[in-house]
Amino acid sequence: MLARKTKKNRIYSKDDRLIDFLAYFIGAVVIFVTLYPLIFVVSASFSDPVEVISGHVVLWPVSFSLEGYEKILNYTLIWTGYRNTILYALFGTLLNLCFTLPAAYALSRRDLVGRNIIMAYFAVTMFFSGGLIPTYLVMKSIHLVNNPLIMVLLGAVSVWNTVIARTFFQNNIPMELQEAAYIDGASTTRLFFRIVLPLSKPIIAVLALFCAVGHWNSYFNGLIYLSDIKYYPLQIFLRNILILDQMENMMGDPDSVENLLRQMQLKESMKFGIVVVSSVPVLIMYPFLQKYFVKGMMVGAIKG
Amino acid sequence: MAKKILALALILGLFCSMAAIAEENPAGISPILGFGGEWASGSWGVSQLPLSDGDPIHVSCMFPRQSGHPESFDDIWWSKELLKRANVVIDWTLVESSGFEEKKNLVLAAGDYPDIFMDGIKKTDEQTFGPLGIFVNLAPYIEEYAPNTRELFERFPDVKKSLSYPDGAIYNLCDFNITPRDQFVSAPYYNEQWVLDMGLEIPETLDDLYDIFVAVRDGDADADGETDDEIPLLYSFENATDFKYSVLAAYGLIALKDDYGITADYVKDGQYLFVPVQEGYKDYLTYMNKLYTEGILSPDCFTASGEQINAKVQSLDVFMIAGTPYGVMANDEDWMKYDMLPFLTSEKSGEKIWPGTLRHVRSWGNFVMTDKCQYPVEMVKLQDYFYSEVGSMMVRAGREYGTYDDYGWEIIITDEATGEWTSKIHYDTENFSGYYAWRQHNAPLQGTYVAGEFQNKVMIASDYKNNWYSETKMGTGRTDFMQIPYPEVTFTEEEQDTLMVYVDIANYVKSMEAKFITGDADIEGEWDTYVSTIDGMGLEDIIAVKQAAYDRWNLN
Amino acid sequence: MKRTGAIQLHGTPVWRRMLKNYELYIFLLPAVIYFFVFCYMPMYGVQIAFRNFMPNKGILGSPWVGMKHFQRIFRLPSFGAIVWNTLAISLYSLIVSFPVPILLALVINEIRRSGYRRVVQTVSYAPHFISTVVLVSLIEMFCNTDYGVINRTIELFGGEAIPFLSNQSYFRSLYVLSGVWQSSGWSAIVYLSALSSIDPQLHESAMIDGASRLKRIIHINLPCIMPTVSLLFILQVGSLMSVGFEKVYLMQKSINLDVSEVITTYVYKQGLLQAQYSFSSAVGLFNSLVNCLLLLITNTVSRSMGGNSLF
Repeated sequence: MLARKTKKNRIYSKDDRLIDFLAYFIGAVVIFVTLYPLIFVVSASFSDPVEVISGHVVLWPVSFSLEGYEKILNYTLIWTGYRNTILYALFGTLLNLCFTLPAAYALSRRDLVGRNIIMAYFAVTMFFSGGLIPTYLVMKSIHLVNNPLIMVLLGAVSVWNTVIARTFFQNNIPMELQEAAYIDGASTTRLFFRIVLPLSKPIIAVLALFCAVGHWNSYFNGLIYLSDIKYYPLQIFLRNILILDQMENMMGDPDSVENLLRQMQLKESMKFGIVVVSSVPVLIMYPFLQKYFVKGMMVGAIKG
Repeated sequence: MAKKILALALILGLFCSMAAIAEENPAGISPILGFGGEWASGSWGVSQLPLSDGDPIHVSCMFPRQSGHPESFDDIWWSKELLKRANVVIDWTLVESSGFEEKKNLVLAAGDYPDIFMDGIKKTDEQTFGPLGIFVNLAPYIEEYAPNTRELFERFPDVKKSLSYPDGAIYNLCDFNITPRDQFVSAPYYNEQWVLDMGLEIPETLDDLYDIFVAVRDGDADADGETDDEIPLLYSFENATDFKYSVLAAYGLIALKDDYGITADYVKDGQYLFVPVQEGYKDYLTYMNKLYTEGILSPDCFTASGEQINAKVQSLDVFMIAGTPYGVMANDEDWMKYDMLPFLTSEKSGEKIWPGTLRHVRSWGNFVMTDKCQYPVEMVKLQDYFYSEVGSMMVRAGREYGTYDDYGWEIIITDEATGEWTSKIHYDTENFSGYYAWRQHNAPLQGTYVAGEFQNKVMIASDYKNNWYSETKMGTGRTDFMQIPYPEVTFTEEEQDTLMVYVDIANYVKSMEAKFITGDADIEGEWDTYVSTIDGMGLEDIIAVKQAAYDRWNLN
Repeated sequence: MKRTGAIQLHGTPVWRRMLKNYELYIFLLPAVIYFFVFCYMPMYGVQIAFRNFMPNKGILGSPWVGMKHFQRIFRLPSFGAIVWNTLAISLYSLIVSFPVPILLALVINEIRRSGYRRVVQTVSYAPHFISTVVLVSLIEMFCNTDYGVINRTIELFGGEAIPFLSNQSYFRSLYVLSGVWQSSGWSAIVYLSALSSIDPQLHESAMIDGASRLKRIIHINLPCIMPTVSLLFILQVGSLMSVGFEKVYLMQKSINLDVSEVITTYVYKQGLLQAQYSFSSAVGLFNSLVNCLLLLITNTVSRSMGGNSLF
């Protein structure tokens, strides 16, 4: 790109080389600062918990041990959470695409009457909300409380995504192409499905990724709207294990000495493994998708 | 003078009613002797089961699930037993205990709530939802249908007082605990062996303790050649209050940690004191600050997670710990070297006082019925059954050996003549770390029950470490001078309104406490500002309210 | 400008255009319904902020109390502190984490070798995909006084371990800096894309004119991404009073409550943990209104200064 072009007629100056060096150096720092914590966690997950607590793990595993992972495998709730999250992410993303893309396309058409009103209707929801209790009451009245469907439905449309998609359509699907389709006698629906969508792979990838990641990482909705454990998403179990201290329970019941101690030890050795297990799928997936969505992001986000 | 007469009258009244009961002795009810101390004498309490003749009764319940509970209660032993004994089926909604509070408030707000709750309801919930009628007033039902409950109320009128609102309504039931060990709060545990090894004496005052701490910090208490590997004092500051109780008591103050996380309420000679602004509290802060700045109180108390603290405690590097000595007990070798800290005095106060928990109650909020319940009479009878000895055993001890399979508790009569007995526990040792874990796997372990000598003997017999804990705790003689700092009172609606700012005061006190101790705030310099800030938040009104509530409670 | 059967902008009566494009309205329907059910219907419930909500009487049955709850907000002793906490975290975020993605984008853009550049970019936004729960636990793992890597490095250089987690003066820094770690790379994508659309001719002619590289960056790259920068800046200022709930809530402990209690966590705790439904709704509503106001103000200011605006 820029680099290649200028290679031919370069004027090497001092500040050029300085900036080159700085750029490479900062790039290296970025890589280190970003990757190190992640590598550490992976290493710690494969190490003996005692070594971790005493601080002997720095970069590579110490006293290689699969104990943590063994316990994770046995902790069935993690797998329930996993399964649920995968299902929610899958269906939630599909639903999101089905709702958002058509709406965004409609909004991208300048000949849509009432375009601004509709856009405002969408945008207002970004700033105002009824609050948690009223939303809960509404959810309850439509029987969505403690219903796994709610995890799929909530977030089916986000204004942000709609705007990005709309911008993409506006900038990337030439008006002439659409007009030509009309002249050929196509209906709007056909135009959308046969012509616009195939051209929109980048933005579909972007939306899909945003949505999937959003579902993967969400815990608040599950916490509020779901009561039955069997519906809980992964992050809730993570929160219990990683963040919450079980100490409160301990103070009440002297009968439970051994039990709670065991649980504490369990938690400690599972922590890192759990972080790995819950983040790895996403982290592995995204570099592969990135060539699609970086392009999409680029175009969609400029006028954002 | 009037109070004394009143007290006398009360005692007389109790005597009379007890005598009456002893004479009456309706079928099955006999006086509580440490609650069925002799197994051979039969069990205490009336049973009104089964509750339905035809089809089983279904009720719904929302229950906070702890990590030891199974994923579903539908098929566990307890549910099956409930069906068998009472012909009742509970439709459980299990909510993770960490999110139970939110969930409960949401379902109550949305009108989506279950028939009963068996755990997780707090006093403040009662105050909010009772008067609205969402929580059913149990008092009339108890009067008519719950003989065991009535009897327990007669024996422990304090409890009835604390459960009742000024208009006589009762919205929740508690579980009773009449084992002496649990009538007062614990004190910290310390490594007695080290003290003796270093040639020092068991401490009697705070200053003695300080000297010992210094010796531990600087010397080689565990005689392993290293002077730096002993941690003088480590515990979870957020959760464990034992050490605080010890220091406060040494300065003449007692108070229990309340729902808002602060130790504040103390009625001394009939007058209510707000502990966090007293001189004795300032002394406590000063002492703690001294310990902190001199490297005795470990900074980890404020930051380290429960597991980290536990790891250190387990490896026996810590001289003094607070909170029930789990970590120590887990170490199979040296835990017996620890002992509970004896009562300490200070130069400011030699008075022997110690916080007692509300006697006879282990926890509140163990049975609440909502207006959605279609079988109020049956449910009250069920809870009443759980108060009986057989029922309590079902709730707490689990199943009897031989009833279902090879696991359970077993009574073994050791002496036919005297009726002496001992107990034995059988459980799945491969998959569970202890009897409690195994029990928790097949029963909710919560609800109304009476934990008496008998039941505790069965439980403790299974766990010799628990026995040790009982012995060391009782061994400090605190039962002789324990007092209840402030009884469980109920507030009128007006008073509840005034109390709304209490949350802010509590948060302020909490955060300032940590700051004073760690030195972030200077005690000498900022104490006056601290007190006047609290005054400015409306402390006077709070004090008035609490005093009024106490006076009312006392009069009853 | 009439075109048959094609996309028309003027010339035909409104209703006819609507009829012709009826399919577009069908496209919009799911989203419209969604927002109606999930956003507008609950707005009806906002009125509990003006009532004394009693669960068994429902919203309409609960007594009207007008501004009572709002008055209580201002009389609350800790209100000032909570608002300040929210503002402080937002401002800190703004000052620190706003420029970082810009700088990062500028730097990455200067990396010549495309392979290396892609690697840096890809790695830089990896943390974005980590969930908040995991992020907070990472913070705790790394800032731990015992085995946290940061402290061990400090100790290696002869210093003393710093109690990051227990000393509340570190709370805001931990919050903001971890946010920088997590989102800089992701936010930089937007700027990078803007940078990639710069006409290379601009740079060429500048070079011919003898401009140094640094000058070129400052005078060409920066102005080019300014529109994006100002837009995002407006948005961030507009949300100054809304610090996201999840992360703060996870990082809260009783020792840092002084600085960590922000409006959103307060609303949550009052509403959901203390069952003060009406009061917490009032606080939430108040917060939304302030946010809206801020957004409008910044937008107007920016527009009147000749810059970009949101609307």
